Amino acid sequence: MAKDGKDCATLSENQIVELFVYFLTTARVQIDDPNHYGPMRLLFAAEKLRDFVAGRTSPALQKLFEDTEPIINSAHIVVNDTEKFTAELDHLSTIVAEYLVKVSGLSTTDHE
Amino acid sequence: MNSDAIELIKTRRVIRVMTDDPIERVQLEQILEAVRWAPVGGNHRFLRFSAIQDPTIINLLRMVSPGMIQRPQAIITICANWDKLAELKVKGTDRAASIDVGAAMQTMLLAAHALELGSGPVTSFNKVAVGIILNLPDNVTPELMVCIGHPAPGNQMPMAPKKKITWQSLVDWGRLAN
Repeated sequence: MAKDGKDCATLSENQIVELFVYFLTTARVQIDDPNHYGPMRLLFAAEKLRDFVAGRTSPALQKLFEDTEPIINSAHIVVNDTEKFTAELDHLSTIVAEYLVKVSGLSTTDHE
Repeated sequence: MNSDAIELIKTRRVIRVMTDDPIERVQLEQILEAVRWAPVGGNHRFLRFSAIQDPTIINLLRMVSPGMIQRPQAIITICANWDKLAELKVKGTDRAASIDVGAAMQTMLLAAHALELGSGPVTSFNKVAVGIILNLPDNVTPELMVCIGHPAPGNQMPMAPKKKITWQSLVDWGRLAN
């Protein structure tokens, strides 16, 4: 989403391998694991990606990382409580959608 | 009564955040010696243990183990030798193996805790990939990994139960109620 077209947050080959292998091997693991672990695995993948590029992103993306980190941490703790886990994931969805709207320069309207 | 043992059991926790401080090989050997004394069904010995301290192999195991949240300094993988089980003609082999794996796991977790190390079990891993990384023969499968390291201070990312658990909430005296 970098507006200037410059992408300073590239991944190293080792990091790409780690993410690629994580997705592929976790796909098999999830057949045996509880269904609700699937979303948790995706959160961990998001954290891996965040940690790989930490400090090398735009200030806006860095802020998104900072805003979402405590909520991701909270989500991990309540993973066995569907209602609370869903609420944390909805909270994350709201934050990332608002981030996308903001960095895309789209206007927002308050609905009465 | 050995109150130290009871205290050890009650204070052990799954450690999901570990420091980068290395652990001594002799500590790992003490944990492995302890697991030799874990109870096993019929005194059959069909479990094998793979002890890893090589950082490269640990990293590879982490990559194929989504349940491994921690960054351990050592990993002991409990493996089942299915040929040996077949030789023993043990009925219900899956169940027998699971019971022995659980006993071995808890023995190692407590031994690590006694040595003031942190530990955590991992069952969510890709068995095929782990088998290849550990160079296991076809008749030996990885069943559970125990991660070992020094606990980091602060939040250990516990999985909160839905409601408070007490021993009373888990027990029925006598015959079970409806």
